[in-house]
Amino acid sequence: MKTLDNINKLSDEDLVEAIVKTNNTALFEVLYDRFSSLIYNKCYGFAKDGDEAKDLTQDVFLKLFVKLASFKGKSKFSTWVYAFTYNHCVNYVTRNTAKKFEKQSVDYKDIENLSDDYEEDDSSFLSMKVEKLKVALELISPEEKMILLLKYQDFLTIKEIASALEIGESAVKMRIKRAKDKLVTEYNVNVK
Amino acid sequence: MDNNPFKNINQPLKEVPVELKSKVMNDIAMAKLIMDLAALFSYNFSHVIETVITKRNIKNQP
Repeated sequence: MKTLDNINKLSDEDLVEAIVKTNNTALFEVLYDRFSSLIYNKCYGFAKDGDEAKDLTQDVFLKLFVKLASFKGKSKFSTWVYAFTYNHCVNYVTRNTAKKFEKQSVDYKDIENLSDDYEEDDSSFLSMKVEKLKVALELISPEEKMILLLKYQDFLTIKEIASALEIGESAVKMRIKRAKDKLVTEYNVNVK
Repeated sequence: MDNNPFKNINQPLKEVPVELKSKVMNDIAMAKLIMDLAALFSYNFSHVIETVITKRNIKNQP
């Protein structure tokens, strides 16, 4: 019992390190207990129904076990898991389209303009109704939805998103700005 | 952003289906078995190279 207590006291990062070292499935079970609700609910946001969310969650955990060693501890483990889960879900949702999630090129003029005057003006979101926002989020691309959720639902910083998605901070700012503009347009024009 | 609507879009949180845990842990057990079997039939090349170099150095010492 004492050992179990000790395991439960481990930080997420230490627990992951122990799993990578030992490949111990009992330790992975502890990780499942800590993150199953988070991952299931993230998957639910991209799934059509509960069954699809279950399948996605099952796949995410299997992939997580195999790829756990690639977590290098540069960010919090929870941050890494958010990005890992979203990436899996986005790839699943876009599996039948040619356009998979990839490092999209960014117009450097946009970056220059953005770097100087980038300010987080979130006032356009404040008055949004939750039910209408849900509909609008389904009208933008899964990649855009992902980056907005990382920023405004999971509260990751620009730096954390850049690290998690392995892209530059300017690219993150650019993508957030574009996604926000598109979301606001969809919300105002297409959601009744 | 106190009244951030993003906070509420997945509320209330859905309950994780109870049977999911056993399915996941079965997958993990199978993955571990495959990884362990693969390790049995593959060489740890960095270890092999290190051992060869170390032994060669010892052998070549006067």
